[in-house]
Amino acid sequence: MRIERELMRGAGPVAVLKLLQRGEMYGYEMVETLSEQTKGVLGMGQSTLYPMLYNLQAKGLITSRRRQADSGRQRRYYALTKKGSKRLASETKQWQALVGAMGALGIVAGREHGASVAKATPA
Amino acid sequence: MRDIVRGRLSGRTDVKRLVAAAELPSPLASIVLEVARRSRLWRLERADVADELIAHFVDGLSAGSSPQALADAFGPARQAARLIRRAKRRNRPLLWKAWVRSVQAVGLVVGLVVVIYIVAAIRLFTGRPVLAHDYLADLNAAALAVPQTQRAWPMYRTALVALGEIPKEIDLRVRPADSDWDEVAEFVATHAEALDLVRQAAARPGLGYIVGFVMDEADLALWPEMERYVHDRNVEMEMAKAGLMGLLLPHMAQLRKLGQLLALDAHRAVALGDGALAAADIEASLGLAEHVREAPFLINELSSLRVIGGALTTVGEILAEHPEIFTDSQLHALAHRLAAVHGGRIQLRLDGEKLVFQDWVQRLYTDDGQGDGHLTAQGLRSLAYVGWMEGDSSDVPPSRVGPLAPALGLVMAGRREMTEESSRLFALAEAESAKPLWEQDLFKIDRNVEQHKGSFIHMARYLPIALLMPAFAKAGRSPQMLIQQRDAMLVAIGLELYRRLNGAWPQSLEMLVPELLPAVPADRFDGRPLRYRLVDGTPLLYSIGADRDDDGGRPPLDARGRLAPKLGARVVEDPTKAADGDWILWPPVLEPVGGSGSPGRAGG
Repeated sequence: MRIERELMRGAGPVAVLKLLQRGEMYGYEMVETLSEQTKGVLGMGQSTLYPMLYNLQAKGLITSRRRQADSGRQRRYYALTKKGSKRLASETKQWQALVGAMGALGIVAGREHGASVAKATPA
Repeated sequence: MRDIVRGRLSGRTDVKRLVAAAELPSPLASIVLEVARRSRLWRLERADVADELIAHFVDGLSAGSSPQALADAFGPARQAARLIRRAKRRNRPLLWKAWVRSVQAVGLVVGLVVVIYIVAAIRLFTGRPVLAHDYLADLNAAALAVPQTQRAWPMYRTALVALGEIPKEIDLRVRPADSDWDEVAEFVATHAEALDLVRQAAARPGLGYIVGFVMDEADLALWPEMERYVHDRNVEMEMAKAGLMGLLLPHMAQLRKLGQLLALDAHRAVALGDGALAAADIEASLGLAEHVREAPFLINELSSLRVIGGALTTVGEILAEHPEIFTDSQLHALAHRLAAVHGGRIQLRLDGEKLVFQDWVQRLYTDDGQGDGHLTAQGLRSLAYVGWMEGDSSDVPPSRVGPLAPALGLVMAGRREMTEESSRLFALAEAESAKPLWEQDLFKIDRNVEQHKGSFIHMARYLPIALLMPAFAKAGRSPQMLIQQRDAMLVAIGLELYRRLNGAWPQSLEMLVPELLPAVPADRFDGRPLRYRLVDGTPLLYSIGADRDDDGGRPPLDARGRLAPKLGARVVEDPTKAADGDWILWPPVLEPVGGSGSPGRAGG
């Protein structure tokens, strides 16, 4: 299932920040990980990902540097900044509140759905 | 070395070389190239984006994805390029962002100015003034009211034609004491008939001279050189461009000349022992002075005051040298006539200037029917024409308005404001001029007008006022100076009549009141009674003069130490800088033409 663009606009950056909380990642790695962990729900094309990364960088939430990947190729790695960590914490709370509210309304399956996402997203 | 560095650098920033080096399959290479090209980023930024996309596709291919699957997953290249461009620009340095904002701000301001300019230009060039009122008819109302058979001008004209051009050697300012007197007296005697015609004309109820842009054909007998003003329509149209500023007033100088000839004839009559003729000449001068002010322009008013001043001087001179020439009844009649000049109210009249300005307002502005309107290009052209008439260095008049005209249209006061400001200044000038000299500050009015020339913006806002408003300081004083002279002559006549009655001069002017004088006139410089003394048994009547202190009746001296009686009445803004001395009113301090002043009977 693909998410509507408007919803993705809100969810995409939080998802990227969450991925980078684990450590540095480069573009393709993020696309793949997002797609795998969200079963394609938050999968995004490069035409969406890279502008998003540049925007987060412009806001000072992430930073980037070129370095050699494990494959031996040069890649641009992105990492969370202190400001990005704070933003992630704040947005995570908001999303949790939102999901809770949606659950209360019976729009999302509450625990079951939350559990599956929690399972799919390593801490 | 430099080439190597350049090669490495350009290699790093050359997107095509990067793509080629990556050996990407064709659809993916196309996407990278298209995104880089469409992003229109800086060279280095484009290379950076391309590098990242190439790495992405290389990783995808390595993970087993097909080129087509990767291309499909990428999404539309055009949208990617647009989003990437926007996001990348956000990452640019602060200085660049500030520069962009500045350029945008300047662009916005320039755009705004251009829009305002265009709107102003449309407003200026589409507006049309409406000449709703015939102010020329208002100016000619008095002349037109005089019946044809009662008009004095045709008689003056006949007299002027008979007088012909006055030879250069005849100086109309000479007096019997001057060496050239005989020659002048002979000229005047030769033209006795013409002067008789002048006296008859001066007795008529009105001048009847119609002012306009064209000349009456009958006047060509007087001014044959002005023929083109009768026949040439182009001249008429050309002059009309300047509004009522282009009106022809050639008769003014001629009438003033007749006033001078009457004064000379009065002196000649005295020499002949003909008091009646001398009195008739003075009476005619006063009648002429009323005719001169038929058109209500300031120049007419000032010319009229000048003719009256000439007549008063003549009276003073005759009373000082040959008082016996006039009978008692002639003196009484003269006193009454002098008291009645200008209807007994000598004051600055600006009716003509007001009408000319109102005419200008209707030529300059549109009319919204509520007393307001905006500037028009047509009006501005007329104003530029006046500027050219007033001394622009160009040989040809301006035919179109300049590129700054729309801006001027925005800055210049609207019709209502311009009308109100001009009315304020005219009212101020009239009110100030009506005050006696000790109270008036006419320089204040000129300062008001000058204020409109003080700065470029202020001048642009009130350009018609700066250009068309006359200077008031000197003109506004003239009525007060003439009142002083007139009052002095009334006193002089009273003194002469007193002497005839009592066989001696009075000890004080109060002794003339009330039989010979209703009251002792005030000195216009301080409001106190006119100063009077007996010096060696003869009277001396004077005003404290422009320096506003009593010097005991001593006239001022000029820089060379010569008597300069006129300096006593020359008002300057700061009275402490006026010539030291008094204004001798009677008997006159004679000042021969072209020579140094010499004391009159009691002036020294």
